[in-house]
Amino acid sequence: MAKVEKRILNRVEGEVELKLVWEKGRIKDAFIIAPNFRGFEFILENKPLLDALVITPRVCGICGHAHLIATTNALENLYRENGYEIEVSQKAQLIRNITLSCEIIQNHIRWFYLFVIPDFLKFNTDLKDFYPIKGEKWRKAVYYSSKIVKIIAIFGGQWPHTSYSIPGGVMCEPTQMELMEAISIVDNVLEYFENDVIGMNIDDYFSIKFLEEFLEKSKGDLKKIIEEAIKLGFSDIGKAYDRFLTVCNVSPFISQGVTRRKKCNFDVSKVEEIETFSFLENGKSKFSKGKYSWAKAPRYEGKPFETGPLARRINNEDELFINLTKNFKGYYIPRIWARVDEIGKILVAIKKYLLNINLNEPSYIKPKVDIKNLEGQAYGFCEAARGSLIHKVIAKEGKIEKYDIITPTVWNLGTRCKNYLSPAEKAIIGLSDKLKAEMVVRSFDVCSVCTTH
Amino acid sequence: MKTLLWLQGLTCNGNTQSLLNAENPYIYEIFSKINLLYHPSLSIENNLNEIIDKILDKEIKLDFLIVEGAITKNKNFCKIGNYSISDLVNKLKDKAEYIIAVGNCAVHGNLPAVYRENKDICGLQFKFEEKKGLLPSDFKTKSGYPVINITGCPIHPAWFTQVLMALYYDRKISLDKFNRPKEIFMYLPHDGCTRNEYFEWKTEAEEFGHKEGCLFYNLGCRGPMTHAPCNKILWNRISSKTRAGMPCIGCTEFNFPVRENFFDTKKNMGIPEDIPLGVSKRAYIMISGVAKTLKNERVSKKLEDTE
Amino acid sequence: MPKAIQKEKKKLEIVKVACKLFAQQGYYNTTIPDIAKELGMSVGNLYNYFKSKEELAKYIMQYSSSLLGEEIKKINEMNISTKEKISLLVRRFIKIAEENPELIDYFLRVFLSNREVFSGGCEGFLCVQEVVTEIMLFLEEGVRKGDLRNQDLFTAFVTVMGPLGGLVFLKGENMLMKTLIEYADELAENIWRALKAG
Repeated sequence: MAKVEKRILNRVEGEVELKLVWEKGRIKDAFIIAPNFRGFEFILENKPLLDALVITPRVCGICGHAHLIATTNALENLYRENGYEIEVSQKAQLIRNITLSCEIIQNHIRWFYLFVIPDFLKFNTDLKDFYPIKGEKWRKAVYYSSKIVKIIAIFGGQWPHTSYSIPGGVMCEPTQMELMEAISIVDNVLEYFENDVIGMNIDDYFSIKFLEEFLEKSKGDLKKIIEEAIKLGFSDIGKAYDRFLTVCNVSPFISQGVTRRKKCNFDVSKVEEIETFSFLENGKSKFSKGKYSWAKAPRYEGKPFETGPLARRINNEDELFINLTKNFKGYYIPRIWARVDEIGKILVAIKKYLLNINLNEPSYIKPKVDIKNLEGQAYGFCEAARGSLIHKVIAKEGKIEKYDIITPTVWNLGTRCKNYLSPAEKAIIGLSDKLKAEMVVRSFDVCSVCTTH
Repeated sequence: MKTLLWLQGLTCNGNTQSLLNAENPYIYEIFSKINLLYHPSLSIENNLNEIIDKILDKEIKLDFLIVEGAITKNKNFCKIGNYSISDLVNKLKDKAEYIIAVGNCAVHGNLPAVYRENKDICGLQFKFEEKKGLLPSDFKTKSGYPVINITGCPIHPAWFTQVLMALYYDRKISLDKFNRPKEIFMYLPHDGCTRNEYFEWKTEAEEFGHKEGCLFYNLGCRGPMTHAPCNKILWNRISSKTRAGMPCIGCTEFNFPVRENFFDTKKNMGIPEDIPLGVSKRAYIMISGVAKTLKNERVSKKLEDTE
Repeated sequence: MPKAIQKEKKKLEIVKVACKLFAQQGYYNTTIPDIAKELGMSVGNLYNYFKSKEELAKYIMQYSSSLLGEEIKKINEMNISTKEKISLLVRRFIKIAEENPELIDYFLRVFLSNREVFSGGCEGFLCVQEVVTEIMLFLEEGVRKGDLRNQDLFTAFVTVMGPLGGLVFLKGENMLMKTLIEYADELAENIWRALKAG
């Protein structure tokens, strides 16, 4: 007979419950329950359009900056949809890329060391350095993840929760000296990444195409955790649907696309949100039978997709990761690796962005038309730490009539629909160990505050 | 060893994330001195219920109960295991030596309290301006303090860690009318702002993207009317919104979530409706007229072009 | 009588006479000895009160501004409607103009026509800021209460002060058929209609 078990999942962003249905010692069905709801999309209704820049970042304390960028993009697209050109200098664009990238690095470091690795400590391993609070590695992760967001503070004043990006550009006007300070921070974090995280020179790391090659050359924490994961039997677990979604290009290492067997271009009109199992239906709360979470179920052409760093690697046709998905039948390890891998790629990119800023360009070019005159709807896209973020704004008489946010975590950890489980639910079916099931769920990076918002 | 338990209600986790950025003391230095019983994002074990039982059985003495996030009794909107956040606070409120509400949500209800479908959202002892939070207005913890409120959306980590350390060393702190530590919230973002000279000479920033110009008159800056030491204790120890060029949005005040048009100063016949704290509108107008007429040459140029 | 008060009283006397002479003969055609002679005091003694003709000229402006400013301040502090305030403002202005025609004359004929005299500490609003401040406070409150239409400060400011100055000017030119106060209600109504919300 099936046995139902409910577990709170801690060490995530916010609160999540797992409801596992066991049969013959294996997970037969799984429900990921996001029990908390704040109603941001409704709080946004009737607010002046620009106020979204202040409100949406507060959806999430760890990836709020991605919401700011998505809102900025949505509002700039709203100008375009209304037939007005909107000019953004290359300088402003680079600065936005830099601050968003810094938030992603912070996310990746904290997630890997503070949320993922502590689970491995439960297996009696020799990983004392990684112990929360006391461990040197934990402390370094806190130190460097806090260090990199200083760059956001240089340009945006603070992290978390700045709203320094606005249709037409950015609010800051950095000096050369501030760029130098930012570069020194990037160099410093890069050194940490090389010494501790990958344990090798970054160029050598980028040349690696195969698992064995990495395990042979690396002396870093990533290698330690991958070896530990292989030893513990994670090679075969954690696969979702083998369908991957990325919504925008962040050159040169992130390219938009939808991959299932082969890669196609992303088309937002193929996205829908199904509310069958969500407490939220037609903008109202509903707690009828069968509904189990505040999250909705986003589908692309009717199908669930995984989004995030692994999806970005696959959609970018990254050789190492194509090989890794062949090495590992389950995607637990590639999923974690992809995220850590991105830290290096992004750090190198940030330094290039910083050196490419032309300080003589304007930071902000005031849109020629007052935003109060805009009507209709527009999308804003952003590749955030956990994957693809979509904002949709509908404007009426200069105010927000409706605002819709589809977060990366709702793609990965949302509810099921009639035909499909969510990717994370799918990924733990058949497992026999509840700790491993929790770890697989965490590999998607549970950010319940984003999932429900 | 003194103990600390961290609970989360309706939150974005921003205060926890901000806390991780703490320097002097760093978070791991704090928790080398204070035993962190449980924090939902940081603890390795998922043992909140056991810990609460031990506190109720007096096996563990609870020194600091920290609450992040808005409060609701409605388990449909916020649930921790089988409990609501108000259940948990009510269980522990008489056990804790100190209760500290961290962030505007836990203090005033903030943005979650604006959501129309769940009307009972509030802060621990306040709902917006009124003392209509979960706990009675005369509630005091064992130490004799009411809930100590650290406002901000999010908090600056030092606002919390320095207060925590003061209490850890059994020092007294004084509170303002919202029960915020006076020594933190007696400052305004205006104090120490690098744009202060522009304010003084009424040299207004007309638009975004310039390091020159005061953001108060046109761009909605709440720096002179908000209680927060953002330009004394710098954010991420490196800068602040107003230094970078973003107007203060008044996120440490109870009315933050209901104010609108954050980047536009509300003016009547060209005169700001809200004026700097401590001055009469008459005095503000007089001094502005004088400053504008006398004009400071230096602040009317790009900084690069000054002598 | 204490010395300081005596000195203030004398200063006021000087202001009135100087005002009249400046307005009648023009600023440049009037000398300190002219003013002293009219007052029946020695030139040396006059210099005890004002170090220069320019200082005297500026002082007159500051004096009139605070006189009018004080009156408007009293109105601002009253708990009455914006419309009633406009009406009072017009009446008080007219009353001052009737009681001190030389001050208004001075403002129109000297202050506005000899701007170079008033540089160096009296430019812009510096010498008249009491009046300007009180008018600004009045306008701001009117908008805040929803009585007045929000607009640029200066258009609103001249809509209040322009008609008042204009009427007094016409009076000075002996163009008016009626006494000033008889125009008050109509003028107040005009200002109100021009500024009111909706």
